[in-house]
Amino acid sequence: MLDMLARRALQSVLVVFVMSILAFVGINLVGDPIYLLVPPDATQVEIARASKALGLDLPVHQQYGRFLLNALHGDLGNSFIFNRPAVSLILERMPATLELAVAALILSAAIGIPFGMWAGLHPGSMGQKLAAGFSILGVSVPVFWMGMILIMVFSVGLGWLPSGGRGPTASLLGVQVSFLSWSGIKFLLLPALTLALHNIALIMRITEASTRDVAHQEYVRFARAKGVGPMRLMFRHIAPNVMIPVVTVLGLEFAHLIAFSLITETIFAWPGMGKLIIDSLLQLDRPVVVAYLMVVLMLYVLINFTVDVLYLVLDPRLRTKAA
Amino acid sequence: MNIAARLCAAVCLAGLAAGAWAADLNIGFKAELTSADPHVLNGANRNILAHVYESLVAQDDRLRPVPGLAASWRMVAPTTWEFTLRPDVRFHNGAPLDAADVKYSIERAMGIPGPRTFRTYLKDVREVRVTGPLTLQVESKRVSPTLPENVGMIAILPHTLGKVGEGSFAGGASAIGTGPYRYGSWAHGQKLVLNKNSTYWGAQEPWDKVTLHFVPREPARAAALLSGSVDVVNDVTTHMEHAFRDFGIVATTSYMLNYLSLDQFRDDSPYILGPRGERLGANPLKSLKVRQALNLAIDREAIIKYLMKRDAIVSEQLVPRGFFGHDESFRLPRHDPVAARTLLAEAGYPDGFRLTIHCTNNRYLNDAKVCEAVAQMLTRVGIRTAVSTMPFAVFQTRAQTGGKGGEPEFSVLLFGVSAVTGNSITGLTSTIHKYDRAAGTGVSNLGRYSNAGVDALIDRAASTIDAPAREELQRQATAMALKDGAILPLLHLKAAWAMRPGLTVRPRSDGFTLAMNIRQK
Repeated sequence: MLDMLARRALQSVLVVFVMSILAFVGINLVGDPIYLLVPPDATQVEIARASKALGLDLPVHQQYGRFLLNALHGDLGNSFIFNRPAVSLILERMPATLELAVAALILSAAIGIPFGMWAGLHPGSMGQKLAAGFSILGVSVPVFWMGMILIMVFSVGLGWLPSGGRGPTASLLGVQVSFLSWSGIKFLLLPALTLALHNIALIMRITEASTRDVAHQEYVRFARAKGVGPMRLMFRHIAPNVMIPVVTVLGLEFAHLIAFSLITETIFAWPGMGKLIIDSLLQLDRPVVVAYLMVVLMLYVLINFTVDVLYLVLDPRLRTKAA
Repeated sequence: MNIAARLCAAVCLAGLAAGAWAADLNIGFKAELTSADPHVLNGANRNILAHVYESLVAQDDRLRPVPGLAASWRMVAPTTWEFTLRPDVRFHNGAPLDAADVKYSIERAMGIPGPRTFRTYLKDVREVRVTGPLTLQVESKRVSPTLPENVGMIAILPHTLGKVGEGSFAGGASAIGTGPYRYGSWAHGQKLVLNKNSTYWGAQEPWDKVTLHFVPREPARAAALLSGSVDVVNDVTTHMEHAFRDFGIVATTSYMLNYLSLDQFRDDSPYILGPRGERLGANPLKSLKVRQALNLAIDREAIIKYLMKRDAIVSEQLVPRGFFGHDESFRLPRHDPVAARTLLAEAGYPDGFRLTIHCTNNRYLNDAKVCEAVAQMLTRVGIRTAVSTMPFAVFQTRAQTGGKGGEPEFSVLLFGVSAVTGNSITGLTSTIHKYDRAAGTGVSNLGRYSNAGVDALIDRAASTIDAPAREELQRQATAMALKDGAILPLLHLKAAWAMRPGLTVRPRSDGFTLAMNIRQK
């Protein structure tokens, strides 16, 4: 087990290093941000001075060397636009994105798993057909369109929920969160639902397929023949086995929700990381883009690791092997 | 009983009155605040912070200079401007404004490190001298008629702040101005709250609390207005007109000019080929007749009518009507494809040539579409034109230095120039004047147009004090350059706002969205 962890850690370091080169070189190829920073009628002398101040006059490999050295000291550079440390800029917006992603994940699991299992246990029923229809719709409807329709119906038409922005925040363990008050949740509902829709459909399908699979296996029939009650059969024997693929997907999807929340964030003017990265890309705010890629990469690594641990909890065979 | 009833009535009335007086204004604002330090130049910060800070010289809605914190200013020597401050101004912390604050502010603005500074506007300033509690003199490096307008870009802060960095503005500790609103709180990327300054020296604002909500996408701003969560939104385009039919829309011509820049310095321009795709060896754009043919080929009215609709007006000059330097009598020759073909033949290109024009696709409204339209119009007269579009971030580097030896790369490109101070001298100096690295002229002259006669007129205008004479010189320079095909002006973009019924918005030519311009009907 320790051996496995060490190998994973080493792999992760290598991935992070390679990724930093790719990100740094990639964004350098796009263009020189200096023209986007100085006033349009700045003279060449002023441009050269500004360029020097940011270290943009150095060749790329020297810039990368500087970046790497600072990064090892925990400093990923200052944003060109905001003139603040890129990491703090990202971390400051992370709670908003995490909040949205967690809310969407909870919605996906809370709606997707029960309906999926029910549909899996009752193949051919009306409910199963409805669930199948919904999941096809959910997977194929584009997020931005869904978001706009939800806004049109619930904010513009009915006036029940706000059309965008984040509600009042309160401090929870030093992090600013908005889900502690009803007025905050009102702001959270529509974007979370928009972000979750695709996942609800996905989870529902996977749960359904997996349930059907498991429900026909020998041990389930044996348990039934032995006289195990339907509730115990469901929760003790079927659910854990159904959950393994579902947990895998949920883990991956959580990372996706964080990394790809940007469309939802843009539609709902949700002040998260996604909105920041789009703006930074368009303005060639290199430090923020590189730092963002690093942070998201770390998150992916962390989430995959968590999923591995969850496997161990869910699947006793892996537990014995690891021990 | 009677007394109780009266008491109740009094309390209720007082409550009602308080309710009626507590007026909040919510604005859906496209750009977000990137720094609370008013001396950091970036994006829309100057617009947002104009609620909190003021400068010596203000701009009216047509961007003409009007007295701000300075009641008056005059030139006392060719290189010395004297400003007299208003006597009754107090900062938000209660301290009275004096000349030392102005000196401190201008010097701080000149000393801000990094690229995002106002130094470009202060490049003429040599020294600021305090000559009295309410008078000061600004010494310039050369004769500088536009110095008051340029100094008018600088927010005035109390000198007691001393050496402060950006961070202490964000939190509000140093966010002390003289403006009609006090800095409230800033939620990064989300909103900025401003509160009424009840000790403002000018007329009191009707709004107690103004909140700018940062909503970058137009549909999201539209939804916010339609659902009533904001009262006013900025940057409205014709796409949304239908959605806003029950709301008010106001628009005005902005200072943003979109034009085509033409490569006039290379003998072999990289994106121009002969009619059969062969290298030409000569640059057709160097011929005046070809440049005139390009102008005749482009139907500006059609671009406005079918493409931009109400979001722009035709431009035949550097600045629109009402701006300093606009010439009411000057017109470019009108669209005439037949005459364009004749001119091309006379210039030695009876079969035309091939051209690629380069454009941004995320910088100006409909920029890529305008380029496609232009390409079709040029193709109609025999110049087979292809369009290459890219994001501004990529475009800028290539346009400025992407060519051989760090030269501009493109042959023909669509670009924009904004007359921030409402004066055509900005465009003349940066896009028409000969490129001169040391002198800092022609920095956006990407076609490297050069005409000694035009340059002489621009230089004379730049050092002429008498405003009518200066405006006349700028008009002459503009006319001479545009007749010579220095650039091809296409259109002036408009700035537009939508608001809920019951509000009025006074539009500004710089597109600034100010609570001071929003009133209850």
